[in-house]
Amino acid sequence: MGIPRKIVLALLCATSLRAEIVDRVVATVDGHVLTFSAALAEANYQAFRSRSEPVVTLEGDALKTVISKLADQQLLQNEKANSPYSAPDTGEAERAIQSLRQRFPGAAEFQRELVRYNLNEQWLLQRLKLETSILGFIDYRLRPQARVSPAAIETYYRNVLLPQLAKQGERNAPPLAQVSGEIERILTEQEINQLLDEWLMELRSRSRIRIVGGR
Amino acid sequence: MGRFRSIIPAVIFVVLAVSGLRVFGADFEGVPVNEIRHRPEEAVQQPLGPAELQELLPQKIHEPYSSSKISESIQRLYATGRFSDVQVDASGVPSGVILTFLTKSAYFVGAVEVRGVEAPPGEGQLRSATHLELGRSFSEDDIPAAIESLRRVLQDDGYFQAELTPAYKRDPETQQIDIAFDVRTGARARLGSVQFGGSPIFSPEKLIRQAKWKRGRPLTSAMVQSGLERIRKLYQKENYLAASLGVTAKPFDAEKNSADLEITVQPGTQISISISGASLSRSTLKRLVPVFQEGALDDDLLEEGERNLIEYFQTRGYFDVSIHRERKQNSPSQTAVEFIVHQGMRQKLEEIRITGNRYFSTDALRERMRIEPVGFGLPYGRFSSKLLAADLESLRTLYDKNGFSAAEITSKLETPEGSERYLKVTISVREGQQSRVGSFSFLGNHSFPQPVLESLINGGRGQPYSPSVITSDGDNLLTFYFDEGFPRAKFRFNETPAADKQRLDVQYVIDEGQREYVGHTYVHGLEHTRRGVVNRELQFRDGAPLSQSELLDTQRRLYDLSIFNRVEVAVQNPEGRENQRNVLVYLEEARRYALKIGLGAEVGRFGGSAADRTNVQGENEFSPDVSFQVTRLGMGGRPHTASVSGRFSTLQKRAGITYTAPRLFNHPRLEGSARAFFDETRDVRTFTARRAEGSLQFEEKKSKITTLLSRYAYRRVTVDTDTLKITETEIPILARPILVGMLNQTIIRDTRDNPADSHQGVFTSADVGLAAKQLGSQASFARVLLQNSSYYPFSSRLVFARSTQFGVQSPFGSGRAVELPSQTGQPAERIVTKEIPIAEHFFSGGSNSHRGFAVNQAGPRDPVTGFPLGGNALLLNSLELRFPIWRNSIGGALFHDAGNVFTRASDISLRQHQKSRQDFNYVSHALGFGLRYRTPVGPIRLDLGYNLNPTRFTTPDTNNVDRSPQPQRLARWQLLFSIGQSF
Repeated sequence: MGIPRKIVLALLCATSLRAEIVDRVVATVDGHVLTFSAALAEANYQAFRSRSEPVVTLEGDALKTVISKLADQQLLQNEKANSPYSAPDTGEAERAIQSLRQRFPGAAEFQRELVRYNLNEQWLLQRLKLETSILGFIDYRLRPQARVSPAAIETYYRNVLLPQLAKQGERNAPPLAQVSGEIERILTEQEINQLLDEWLMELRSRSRIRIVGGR
Repeated sequence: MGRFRSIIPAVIFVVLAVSGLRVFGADFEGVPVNEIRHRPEEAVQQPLGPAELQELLPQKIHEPYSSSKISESIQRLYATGRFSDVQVDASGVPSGVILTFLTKSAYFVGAVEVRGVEAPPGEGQLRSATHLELGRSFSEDDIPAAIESLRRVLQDDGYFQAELTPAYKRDPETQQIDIAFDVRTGARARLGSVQFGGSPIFSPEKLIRQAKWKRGRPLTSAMVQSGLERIRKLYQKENYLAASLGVTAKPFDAEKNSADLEITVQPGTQISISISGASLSRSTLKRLVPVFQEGALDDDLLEEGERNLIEYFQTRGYFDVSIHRERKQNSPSQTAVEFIVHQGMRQKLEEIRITGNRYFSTDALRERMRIEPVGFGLPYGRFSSKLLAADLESLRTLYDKNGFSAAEITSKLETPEGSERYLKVTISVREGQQSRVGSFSFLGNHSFPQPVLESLINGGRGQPYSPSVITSDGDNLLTFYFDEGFPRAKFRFNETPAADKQRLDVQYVIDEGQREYVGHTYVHGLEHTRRGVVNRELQFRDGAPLSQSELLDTQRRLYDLSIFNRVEVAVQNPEGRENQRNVLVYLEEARRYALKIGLGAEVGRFGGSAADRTNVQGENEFSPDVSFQVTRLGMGGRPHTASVSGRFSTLQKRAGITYTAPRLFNHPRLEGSARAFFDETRDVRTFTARRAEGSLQFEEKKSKITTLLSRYAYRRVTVDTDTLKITETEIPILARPILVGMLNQTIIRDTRDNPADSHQGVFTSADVGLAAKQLGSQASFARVLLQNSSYYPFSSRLVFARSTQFGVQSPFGSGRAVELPSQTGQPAERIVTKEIPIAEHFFSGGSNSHRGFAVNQAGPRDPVTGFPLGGNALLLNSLELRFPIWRNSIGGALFHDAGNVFTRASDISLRQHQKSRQDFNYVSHALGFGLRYRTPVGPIRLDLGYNLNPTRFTTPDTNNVDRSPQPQRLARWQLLFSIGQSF
């Protein structure tokens, strides 16, 4: 043997003692810390929901995108904490997780898939609860401000729906009265989305979001 | 085979090690953690101690590795605020994993300096502009915003080309960072042209003239703002009450180093406000209708004006007044508002009756009411619907605080039959059931026993139940907790009906939260001052609970030392979550040397030659004076002061040194001072005196208003006998150079609002002095001097002031030997005299005492020469009515001074007339008028006094051979000029 066993073992020990950064701070939002593991978990959650490939590592623009999403979440959570809003527990998160389970033939497959995305069921449930709670808060804050006028409904009916139906070859378009409820719902959601964008911009402008580089 | 077997574990380990690189920490999940290390980036003391770190981290040694616990550990470490970055490094070892927390320390704002700027702007303003607060966490991201803000402030004051460079000085041990901004300002820009946009109405020339802006003047923010204010006043004067104007741009020309001003003016509508149906002065109308102060015209302000007018008329007897307003748009730019008043009958509030009250007496309720029936000073009474509503609310609050939450209080207005002019108010009280507290307890008070907390509150078992009392108790408890190191304490209460349904059981629930303690105290900025001086003023100790009131008290005490220009006391890392809080004490020492130069003047009858033995009163003379004082602070690194001062005028030459030591022997209210001076004074026409004196004084502040002074003075007073204008035989007795050692005790009680120009309060002083042989004095005498002054405001600007002074001194002991020179060539006669030397006599007269006399001219006079001798008793009473003449600058006073100086206490008399020209034991009266001009250092005063019964005496007729006595009388009129009020 060319290399003494002790040297091999020493080299192997050196290799095994080689440090790896297992987690770190990637950003802070008004003093609240976002860790790399949280960002990676969020990225894998999104990948799991959208059935994309698991995310092994995050860097560059991909990391910034996830950080931005987490920052928005944190800002909304901070607002929720300072408001009188109290989310009722309607079991929506449990229903959501059940719906996710049903994508798989059985519980074992579901668990395996979670492991593949480096997630676990408890974390998933918490994540879904958080999502439900934030969506509920957004609805509570913004829905009263989202007003859709009859004129806007009619404009949508004439300028968007009818042309769309015509394009699809639909000859007998339903009357406005029949679809106005649905149109109102769509426009309200659009309005809420726009209000949410404006609200997030305003929250960001008065918050301190700091991206932290590595050591 | 054996060799292969031994390699297998190593191979497996390599495989494991290699596969671990692909996923963050996943391979360590569940592996026991053998060791947790902490490695800060800078090799200094770790901000948190080992025990604290161990308790803080959810991931523990000998427990399985958990990535969620690692993540939470990072969050908790960061949340302490002590770290700006945290990474976790994991190294696999055969038996587990070693974790290393790699941390980068956070820094906190320390001293902030902005250097190189000539004011304006001032350094304080520049420091504030950076928004870098002492103790807050520092990030370099904040610096661009700070620089931008500084640039705006500099541009406002004409520095458009400033270059700013930040410099940092870090202290890894304290985690403090000092930030200095070095500024190269360049020359201050000058004012260029001024353009007005919008709809100015007035010509630009008129506006520029009004603003007093001159092209070429250095451009400063104060100059621009004061100009804008003048322009605003012009618009308001022309009834453009809602005019708005502002600088929209300041284009800068770098070549000329000048900046133009572009101002946009929107005058708004021209508003005229009038009143009909009643007579009201313009100034009162302006005061009552807030449109004028607010500079806007809207319905809310007009409604408020209407309410104010109703109240105004109601308080003047028009209880039924009704007012409505009419608004007319005369043109697009002119609006007229007219308040139409129907005063109705003028009535008088005859009687106020209160019925139904049992718990509170009628007197107790009436004390809380503002409506008043007809009485002295209230010919119509005081009544309005607003006042009545406020009184009813006040009574309801009183009942509520005492457990009568269901009390009903209503009012009824009546006019007796046949006399509609007279109004009666009946207030009916239905008290209802009084709720009382049944059982009372605390919950959650782990740190303080119930008796301690009960001493802070008003509620308790058996007390009247009142929500407002509970709220006030909650505030008191939280204030207590905040001061005991519990900044996150919360208070709430529970109430349940007691078993008997008559009472309520109350429980106060306290959530104390985490207690915070003082960690380390970092003192910064000491260059010349000893650290011990600062330590003695610190009201908190390392390890003690953190108390905000102690921090504030420390700041106040350090300021009181008068050796620091600026004192900042702050908690380091206030947003971080940690129990041990470092306290920062940042100081800016005052300049050690200060030079003061003063100019003053006196006008009065003290002129004339010292050799002139005929003009006993002196001529009116203007006596300028110059004074200087050089002070050195911080003697020996302590808050002691040494000063050298001098004063030179035609009346007095004085030079002296003083050493002052506040907080003597570490006593917070004891101050010691030592003084030595030489003085030559001729403000007594009778003589010129020279005095050399050394004194030691201790001043103790017994309370905010009471001061005790103990003083020992040792002096040698020499009267220049060439200038002494008294009977020759008296000269050796009264005028021999003499050493006086005197012990004085003075007590002062002072509640005046402003000692330089008092409007209210009382000043009382009592001084007792003893000169005795045992104290080194050649003359033994005792002295008492009492003064009492009081001030009564009759309105915001009319003040009645009075002052009484009484002084008496008497010799005692065996006297001192004096040689009387013989006129006839015989040997000098030696006598023993107890006479108090003339330089120690009381003298009165002049701008600061009796204004019916010239300076020091009151009292007994030499029977031969007629010059004043002073005396051993003094009585003076002054009355003064002070009133405004023009704005706040010029005021006037009418005064009456009465009193005199007497030879001895037994000679004090209240007679108004002299028995003869040799009798001076009477009270002299003077009436007068004065003008005062208010300055920042006190009023400049000119008084004209007229003596109603001036002193009559005789002097030798020098034109006559036999020098027969000629009758004389002191002048009636005195013109006196001085600085400061007379008392």
